[in-house]
This record gives sequence, structure tokens and C-alpha cells, in this order.
Amino acid sequence: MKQEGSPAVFDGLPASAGSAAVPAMPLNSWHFLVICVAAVLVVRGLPVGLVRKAALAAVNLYFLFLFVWGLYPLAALLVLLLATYGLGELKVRCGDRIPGGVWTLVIAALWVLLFLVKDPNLASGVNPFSAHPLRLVGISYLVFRSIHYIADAECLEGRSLLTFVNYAIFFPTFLAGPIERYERFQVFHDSGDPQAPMEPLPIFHRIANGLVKKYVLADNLLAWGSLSHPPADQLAPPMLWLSVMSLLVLLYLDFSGYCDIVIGVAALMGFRLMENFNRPFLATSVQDFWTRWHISLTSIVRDYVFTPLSHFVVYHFSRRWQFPLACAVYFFAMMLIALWHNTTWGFFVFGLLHGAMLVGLQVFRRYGYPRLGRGPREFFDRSPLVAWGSRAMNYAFVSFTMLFWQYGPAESVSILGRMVGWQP
Amino acid sequence: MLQDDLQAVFRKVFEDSALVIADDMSAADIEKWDSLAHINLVVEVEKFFGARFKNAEIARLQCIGDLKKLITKYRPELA
Repeated sequence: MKQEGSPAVFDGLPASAGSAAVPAMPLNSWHFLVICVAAVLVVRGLPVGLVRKAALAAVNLYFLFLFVWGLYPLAALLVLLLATYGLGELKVRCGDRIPGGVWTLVIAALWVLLFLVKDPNLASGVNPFSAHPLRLVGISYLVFRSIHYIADAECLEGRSLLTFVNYAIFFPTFLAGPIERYERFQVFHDSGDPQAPMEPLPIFHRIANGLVKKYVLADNLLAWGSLSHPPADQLAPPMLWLSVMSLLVLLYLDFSGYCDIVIGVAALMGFRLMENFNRPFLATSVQDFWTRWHISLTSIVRDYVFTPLSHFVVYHFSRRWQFPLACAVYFFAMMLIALWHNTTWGFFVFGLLHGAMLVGLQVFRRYGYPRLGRGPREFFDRSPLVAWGSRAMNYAFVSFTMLFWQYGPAESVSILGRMVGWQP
Repeated sequence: MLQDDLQAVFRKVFEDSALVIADDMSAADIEKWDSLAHINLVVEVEKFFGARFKNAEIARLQCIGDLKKLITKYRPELA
């Protein structure tokens, strides 16, 4: 596991997209604006067909080369893209002649690859990226698209190498998603839909909102919200509370602002991307929260981890074992989401806490809720007091546990202690 | 026929003998329809109709109409 205290807090967000090895290009730069204008002109101006696809590929590759340079990362990217497309075609053409277990192993191998690339120190004895770290911006999102493409290949219409390459490295989503699905992308990419008339004003409005959320609000306040400036030990308890409780809102402004920009840019090009947020602060439980926050990530984990594993469990095990094993699957999926952000002890504890809460919720629904009387159940289901209380408690829970993102467990507990006036 | 059989499966899974299903209904319309209930429903449907769905097909189910289409893909005589 990596040490805490690194810039890991915002991993996966555009703020960390530019590492020391690659130049960062903010989405509010002239350079990005020029690329966007070129892309919109290409997609809107050229007739649907091979030339337009090739021109879009050229724009995507230009953007990619700004972040990925050098023989090793480019070769790794090429191998990943070709292997994904090739395996997808193999799956479609061979059908049931290749046992389903083989594809399960391929998907599992991609998950392992993802973790080994992201953290070269993980399992360093057997990790090939320990000796040769692979710095490839957006690798998580590339691997997620590969997992989706291979897993669903037989259901995907309009498969072609050029469409797949444009899907995998589509420049608005290349750095940090949303993790679009191939079939949605392919419709806009291959059909005449991008030529449909657009209403630019709402789109520009959304992009402007995104710029304000990310570059005016979040970028100026995140350091304070994450207790890095000023540091936590210099803050009085009331300011600690304010700082800790504002982090979730600031992270939302940062990431949803970024999403507004890239979804808006894609919309100008005629691509309707999936939404990544759905009013997360209205979530009444941890389970509800993860269906509203970073939706494209959680839906990937749901569709390619939770669903196949729980389907296997429910189909093959007796009723007695189904519930405990399904809870274990819930817990595993939550740990995967947590550790995908970063393989630190802080994220491990974050995953433990959220996984435990998720399992606790399942246990309550199964054993606790049915035993409540009719009156308490109706109060529980319909009272606005319970609903808003649940929202407040869920917000507080997520905010407290997010402390573990940046600090190790010991430091986080110390900060939480100081918040309630307890000095260890 | 398919409507009645599927409705019976829904009533069993969601333990609601008054539940009436429609093609455009989705998880948002049935309170207990969460991720785990979805899997329980799929497995009950598979066992009742004698089909085995692929994961990619399960992931694409958006509403009850989609589920009906999937069932008739494996059991065309029910269409």
C-alpha cells in the first residue's frame, strides 16, 4: 500500500491528470478551446462517413499525444486497444465455442492489470510495472472501456476498429470519464445524429457553469476543504468542522464541474454522454449515494462485478447461503470502488466503512425493517423528518469517512477526535 | 400469458400480491427493486421460463418491456 499524504485525494480527477511525466492542459486553457473548436467543426462540418471518423480520430490522437508520449506508454496503449478490439471480435465470432469462464478470466485479468499499473508498489515481487512503471494518463478509464467492450461484445452493434479507437480515446472523456458505453457512443459516432440541429445556448450555459464550479470555486477552496492549507492541527474545532463538512461539496464542484465541461463539449459535437452525478446530496443512505455519485464508475462495477458475482451466487447457492454471500459481494464491490481511487490504507479504511455500512443496510432491510410495526414502518417510509435526517446523516458519514482519503487512519481518527474536543 | 406469468414472478419476488406490472415500469417504480432484488428477480425469471441470460443481457435491462423481450428471445413461442 502507498503512503497517505500524497496528492492522492484527487486521483482520478482532472486536477491530477497531469503527472510529472506529462504536461497538464487545463480545460480552461486556450489550447483546449482550440481543440474543441476544431473537433466541433470536424464533426459538424463533415458528412457522416469514413472521412469524418478519420478526422475525429486525428483530433483524438492529437489530444492523446499531449498527455501520452514515449515509446513505452504508446506501445502499451496500442497493445491494450488492439487486444481489446481483437478479443471482442474473437468473442463474437466464436460464440459459445469458447467457454464463458475464459472471458471471466480475461475480465478479471484486466482488473488485476488496472491495479498493478495504478500502483507499481502493489505486490512488487510479481508486479511487472514495479520495475517499469507505466505512466499513462486515463489508464483506469481505458481499462474500464476495455472491460465493457469485451464483456458486452456480442451485444454491441456497429463494431469497427475506427469506431472503437475513437470510443476508447474520445478526447472529452479521455482524462477522467464519464465512462461512456460503446453502444451509446456508436450511435452518435456512426449515425446522422450529430448532424441534428442543436440548441447551443443551454450547452454553453452548462460549460460556463462547469468552468465556474471547477476553476473558480473548487480550485480555490479545495486546499482548505481538504485540510492541507492551513493544516488540520492549526484549526480550532469549529473551523475543523466547517472544513471537513465542506470537502464533499468542494469535491462535487470539482468533479461535476469537470463533467459539465466535457459533457458540454461533447454535446456541441453532437454526442450525448451519460451523466456522472444525480443530486448526490439527496442520498438517504450509502447505497443511494453510490447510485448518484460518479455514476459511470459505479455502474461499471455494478454491471461487471456485482451483477455477475451475485447472479452466480443466487443461481447456484441454496437460499440459506444466498444472503450472506450477496452481502460479501456488496462488500467486495465497495472495496473495489474504494481501492480503485488509490491503494492506500486510508482508502482501505474508507472502503471498509462504506462496505460495512452497505452490508448493515442490507441486514436491516432483511431482518430489522420487517419486524417494525406497521406504524413505525409507515413513519420510516413517509416522514419527511426521517428522509431529511437520513440525508443529513449520510452526508456527515460520507464527509467523515472522506478524511481517510487523504490522511492515514491514525491521523484521521486524531482529526475526528479534535473535532469533538478529544485530544489523544 | 407472458404478462400473467411474469406478474406472478414479480409478486413472488417482491412479496406483493397486489403488484400489477406494465412494460414501461422500472426499478424506480417498485420500492424494493434494488440491485440485489434485481438479481433475485432475474434468477426467478430464468428458472420459471427455463432460460439462462448472459451478463451483458442482464446489464441492459432497463424496464419490464426489456425483460419481456429478453424472455421471448429465449422462448419465442411466448411472444
